[in-house]
Amino acid sequence: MDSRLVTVVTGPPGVGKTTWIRQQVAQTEDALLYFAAGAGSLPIDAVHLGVEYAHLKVLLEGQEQELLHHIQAGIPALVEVAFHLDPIQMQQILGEFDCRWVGITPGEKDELDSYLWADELMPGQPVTPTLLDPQIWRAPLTGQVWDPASLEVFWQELLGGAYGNIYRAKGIFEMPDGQAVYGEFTEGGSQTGLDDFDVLDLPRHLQGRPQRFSGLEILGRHLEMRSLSQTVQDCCLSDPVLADYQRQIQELITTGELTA
Amino acid sequence: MKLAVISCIHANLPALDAVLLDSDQHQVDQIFCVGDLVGYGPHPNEVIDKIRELGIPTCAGCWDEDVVEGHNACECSYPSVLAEKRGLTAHEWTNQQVSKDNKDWLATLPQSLKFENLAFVHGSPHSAHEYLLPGINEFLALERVLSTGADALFCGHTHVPYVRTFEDATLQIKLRGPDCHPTSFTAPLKRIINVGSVGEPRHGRPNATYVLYDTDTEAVTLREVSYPYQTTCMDILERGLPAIFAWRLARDLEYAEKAENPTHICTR
Repeated sequence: MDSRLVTVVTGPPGVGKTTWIRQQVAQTEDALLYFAAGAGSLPIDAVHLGVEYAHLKVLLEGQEQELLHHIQAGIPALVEVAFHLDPIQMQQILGEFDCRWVGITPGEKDELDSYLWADELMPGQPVTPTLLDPQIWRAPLTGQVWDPASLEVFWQELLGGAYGNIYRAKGIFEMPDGQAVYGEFTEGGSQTGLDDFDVLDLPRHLQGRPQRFSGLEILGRHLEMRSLSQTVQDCCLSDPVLADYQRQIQELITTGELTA
Repeated sequence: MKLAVISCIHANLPALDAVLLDSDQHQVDQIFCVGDLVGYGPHPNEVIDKIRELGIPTCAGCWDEDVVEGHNACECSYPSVLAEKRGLTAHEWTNQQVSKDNKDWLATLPQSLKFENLAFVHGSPHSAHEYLLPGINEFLALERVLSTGADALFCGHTHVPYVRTFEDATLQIKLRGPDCHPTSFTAPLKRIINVGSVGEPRHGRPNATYVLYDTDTEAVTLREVSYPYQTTCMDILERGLPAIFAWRLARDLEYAEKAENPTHICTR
């Protein structure tokens, strides 16, 4: 890693900021900080990375002071800046530190003017050059457990444009077998389905509704927000159905047919 | 004699009109309908009115039954909770729309129809809700045909048209007990003919499907007819049904996906 303590990473949605950060985190076993600026109350990437790497301490919006404190104590930090934030805002917070500014680029030369602030440019995934009038729809889903077959249908419809033009979608979803899965899609990339989702390395939750973080974030245009909300609600399990699922999974674990 | 057999219109009037025109062009002598006149689509009364006006012999589909008796689909009809909720929404909307006169008429529909050596049912001879999927166990499939006493069983419900032929098939039944001996039945040529769906296709294109049958030659012709599905989609939106129904219909997807397991036998 670069000797500078703070690395600030920006770029358009879907270009591969989190992927690049993941590569940096995987190269060391030393303590690291990760701060997702602009993720708001739905830090999907932060939670995903935090589950994946035990040596990564994840800090969320509202924990800026703690972030500064840890950096001052000498812990390196990776700061991911959401596409809709002006990097200058992070400059105001991190101004006292010598930062390494990394821009992940989709490869279009026309876009390079927007990276004038960057110390380094890293090639990322090609993405749609200009996203006009983007909308972000965020659904905190903590406590909700999805019916897998319904999630599959909803995800196909979502990617197919049933709820508007989708540019980027990512989410952490709780499943009735007690596992949580991470799924994502970027326009121009390959179509994804439930089989492509990552199972997160978390203990199975089989007692009532899980209180750990889960949620869905969609970036697109002309989003049918009411329809999205209704469909997501319709995909999630009621208390009695969830209890029935959990009882069956516990039985399978007890008989050794499933690992806990 | 030339017959047309139609099924699963699902309140899609433009699709029904296109099929009636196509069957007319094929100089059909008689049309039979194996049910599901209503459900999901925006024209329930118009479709019932047309079937009544034309005097088309019709047996009850699961949706027709449910409008009369209340929603009673078993879990095998819905492979996801999302599909179940959409089915319930469609049922409630349809139930509000269908006139009392038309409900009374739906209540008179028989479970099955017979014509010469042909039988007509919606799902299976046992239940309008049971799926005779193309890959269903041979024993069970043949049992369903034999139970009607007919040589050809016309059905719908799966929305996937197919013809399945059983030639010189033998059924052997063994009962447990001291005086029980195996009993065998050997059947001559028997067929299951699924006529697909007029108003809610599941075969990859937004076209209506139905079957032409020649009683003299026993020839089966699966017909696929294009129709202005955009009109149906617009009416779905205008009449207050969920917009996702229009989106799915325009993309050759059923309003709510159906059971896929060919080994499943409905136990309702």
